[in-house]
Amino acid sequence: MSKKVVRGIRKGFKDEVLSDHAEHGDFTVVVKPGKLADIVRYLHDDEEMCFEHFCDLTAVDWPDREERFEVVIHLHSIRHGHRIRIKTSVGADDPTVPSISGIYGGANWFEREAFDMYGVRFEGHPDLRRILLWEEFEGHPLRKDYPKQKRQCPIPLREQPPAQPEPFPERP
Amino acid sequence: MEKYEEKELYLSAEPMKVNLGPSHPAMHGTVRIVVGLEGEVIKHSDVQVGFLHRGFEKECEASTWNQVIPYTDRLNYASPLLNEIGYVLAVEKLLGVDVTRRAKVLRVILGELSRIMDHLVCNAAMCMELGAFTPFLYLVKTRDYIYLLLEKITGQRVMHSYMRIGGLKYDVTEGFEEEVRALFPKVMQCVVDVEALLVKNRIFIDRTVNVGCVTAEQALGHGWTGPCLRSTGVDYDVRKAEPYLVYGDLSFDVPVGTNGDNYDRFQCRFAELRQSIRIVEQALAMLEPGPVMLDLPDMGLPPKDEVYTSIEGTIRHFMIVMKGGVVPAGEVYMATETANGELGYYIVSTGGGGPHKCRVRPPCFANMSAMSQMIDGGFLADVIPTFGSINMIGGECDR
Amino acid sequence: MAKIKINGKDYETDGARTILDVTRKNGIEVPTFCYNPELSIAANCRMCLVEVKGAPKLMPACQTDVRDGMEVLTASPKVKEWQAQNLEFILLHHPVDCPICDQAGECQLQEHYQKYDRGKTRLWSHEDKLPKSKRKVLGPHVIHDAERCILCTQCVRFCHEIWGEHLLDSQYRGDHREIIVAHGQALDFPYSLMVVDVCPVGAMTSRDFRFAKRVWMLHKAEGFCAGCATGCAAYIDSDEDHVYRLRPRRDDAVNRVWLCDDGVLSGRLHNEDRVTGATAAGKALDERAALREAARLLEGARGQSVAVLSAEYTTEDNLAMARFATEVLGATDLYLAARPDGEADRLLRSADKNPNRAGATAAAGKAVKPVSELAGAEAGFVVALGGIGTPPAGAKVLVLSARKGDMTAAADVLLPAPTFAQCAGTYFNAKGMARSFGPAIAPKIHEKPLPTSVAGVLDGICAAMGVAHRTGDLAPAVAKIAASLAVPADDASTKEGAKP
Repeated sequence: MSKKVVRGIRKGFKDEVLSDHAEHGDFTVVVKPGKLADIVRYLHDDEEMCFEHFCDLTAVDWPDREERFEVVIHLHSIRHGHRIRIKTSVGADDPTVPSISGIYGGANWFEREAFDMYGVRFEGHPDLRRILLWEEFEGHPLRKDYPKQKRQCPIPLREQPPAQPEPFPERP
Repeated sequence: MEKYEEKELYLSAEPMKVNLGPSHPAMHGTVRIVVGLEGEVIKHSDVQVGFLHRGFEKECEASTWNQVIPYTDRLNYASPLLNEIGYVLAVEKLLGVDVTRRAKVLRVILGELSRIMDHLVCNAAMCMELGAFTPFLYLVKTRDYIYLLLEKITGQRVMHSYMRIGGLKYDVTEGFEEEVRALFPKVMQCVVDVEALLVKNRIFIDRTVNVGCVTAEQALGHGWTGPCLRSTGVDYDVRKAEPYLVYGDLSFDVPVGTNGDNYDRFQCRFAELRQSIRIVEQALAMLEPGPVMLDLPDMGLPPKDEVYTSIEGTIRHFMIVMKGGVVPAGEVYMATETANGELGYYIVSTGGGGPHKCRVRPPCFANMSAMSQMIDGGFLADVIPTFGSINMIGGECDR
Repeated sequence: MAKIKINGKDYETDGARTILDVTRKNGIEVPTFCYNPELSIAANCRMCLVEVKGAPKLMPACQTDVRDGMEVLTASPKVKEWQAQNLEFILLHHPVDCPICDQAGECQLQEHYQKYDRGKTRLWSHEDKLPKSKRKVLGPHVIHDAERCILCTQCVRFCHEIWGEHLLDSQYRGDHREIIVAHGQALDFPYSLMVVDVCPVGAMTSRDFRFAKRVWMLHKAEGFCAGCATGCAAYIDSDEDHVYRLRPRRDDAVNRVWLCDDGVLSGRLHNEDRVTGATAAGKALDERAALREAARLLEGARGQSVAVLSAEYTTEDNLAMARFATEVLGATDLYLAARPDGEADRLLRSADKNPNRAGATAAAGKAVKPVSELAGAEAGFVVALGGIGTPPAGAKVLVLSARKGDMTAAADVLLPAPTFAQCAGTYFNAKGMARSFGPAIAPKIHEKPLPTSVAGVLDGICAAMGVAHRTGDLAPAVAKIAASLAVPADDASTKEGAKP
């Protein structure tokens, strides 16, 4: 049961855990960002926890909150059949959380995506660059203040309709 | 004959950079792989995805709950109904409602038909890229039989938009069961034919066996799921591990491979396809008459005859379309097994008319993230079958 | 002071008269149709019935006076059952009109049904619904759909109590009852569109807005009416660079919750006769080229030019123009352009049809001449804000304007200025009250940014001329004007028009 996982995190990282809940049966632990990597390392290595399966990593933008970006990690243990959601929040000034790509190889791309979409930086990531958007893209589109209709075209839009191609010469 | 020293035989080559894609004849889906070659051997590679990024999440955040459903079709467009099922199940979990038995069974049947389609087309594309054009035609023709049936039921050939929060858009057409049963011999005949052509084929085996190998540990760390994970020997299927809908009542096996190579992935897909047929057969037997849609006044659109003839129905329809319905605030993660693996929806609601966040955990994004490791050190030509067996679907990977 | 208990919780009445006053003040939901705090109590929609302990029947919250120790239930099963039944009754003969109804999206009937009823009709067929007149022309601006009417009589009470003439009435009884124009009258008065505004459903429709736009697609911004010197607070509803209507916004010091017909329709100040692009000698130019042309036109203008300020534009725009004219061009004579006076009445409308005469005059910093004297002035160059006025013959004319007029027709270089819906700034109304607002229509995101202020355009011209002058921060100057025009505090409460 995932209750055991929540208890385990609370025991090992007493000062790091801010809250936990089990809304809709999804066990969730909210932690401080500082020791995120250590907590995930513990979940990965510990026999009791054994979260060998990396599931998901993403971020959520809460523009009204002081700590605006919430990084959400889902982990799964196939051996024990339990799941856990780890959440941590960082402010907009310096949105940096420790990277977990050293623990799960799969987190590499997911962290790049979160960086691409939200501008959250992952400290210790080997290759933190954009993944879904192109390098020259300005801004982070999943932030709530990025307008949905905004266009950024690598090649500028044509102002005039393209000139009509010349008609084929008639057959003699 | 002169004797040459071994050293002289070795032709040293300058490292060469080759771009595979974004548009490459042997790559279905737009992806770019930059490979650094030394001779024919890949020394390092950089897999670049995102060419099909359409801002799925941004669109969802600006949409109402029901408006998201057509967007989900466009994720894995080879099996759209499975994406829809994942989304509506996530929202239903958030709402705390349970759909009717008939709706559940129909979701299972239609979902498994979509899975069959997906596996057919994945294996078809993979063998076509290896030069086996006949199996491709066989398999894609068979997929079309299923498309015809789904078109008849849902009204759309590819992008069905058939699932609804609280059930289905409407009931299936008459004679549905017979038509589904009539599909099985066609599908099985085709699979048998294709296997006869490929499974013992020297060329096919040379290019797939022991190519693109992945160990179970690597696969788990990369978040692999679905047939790709199972080909490495890990027995994990969301339908078995966390049964949803009526999967708990159905008996089916989870086929696993041993080697984690291209051949195992190919075989896993066909083995799963056979299990899907088993599931559909059982589910058809469970099908009983009944309603397919719950009465959710804040979310489900009322029946059309009510909308057109009574002001009560019209108002309800308008309020749901304009304001987007009511979903209690909260967050939920719902995992379902799609053709590519675990498709997870992480949805955050603030109680508004649409999702605050609608995250898709795309299975083939995780699968693709290991691509670089799979092809490094191998031959350039092996990229093609390896990429084919991963089943990267642009819509799902790039969203 | 009385204390009452609502849903088991104690509340001070705080001088409130009725139960509904208390619930509204404390944010307790009680649905209403016919209640309007500005009008008399009719209590005819029966939607606000609540349970009062000791009373044998449900009581209308809007009409029942509070007394000490009263116990009220607003969401008991009995009340909920009544609300659903009442809505079924109101909807019994309501036509299936949402798809063609302008009110859909802001209709109280829709909102209350979804919240308090959600039931199904027990009418056998929609063909059993009672047909009534779908298109009854009540006046020049208002068309009435009798089928949609729920007979709350807010429109009747508005005409009678606020305007003071008994213009509307109702006839027949029961199902057949409908709103008519009172005998010998017509709904032709300067506030007739307010009956559309008070109507909680789509029965009263504005001839102007009818079938023009679905309301949930409108972008609703807070702003002020720019139609006259009263400066009424309004919502500006727009979509895709078109202002569809203005709606009154609550402002107890000026317009309460009302707006005149001219104000509701003043979107035409944005929609019609617009200057959409820069031109030089009648030829369209892009923005940068136009700024260069303007700079070239003004060569040698120093000491020979006059400037025209405008009472149609914000104080900020006028300040920028006045600074530019005096500091860069050395203009000594400033003129003030204004729309001609019109009708006034005892409710809201001012005879002065300009939103900012006070602010523009103060922005000049000295005496201004009326623009009618401009034609006879001796000047080689005219720099004008707005399209009103005729320049002297032979003068070179640079115009910044949002709307076309005689001045723009005579312009050598014409640059577009933001309209009242596009600009941000401050108006000072006839009473000297500051009315500050932001842009109601944002420039399109992927368009090249339009000049969002006159100051921006003038700075561009200065840059093209190679002059160091820049407009700079206008806020202190506006604050100074506000202080000089400020009304004494005790005067504000007794102002005419505060309670129309």
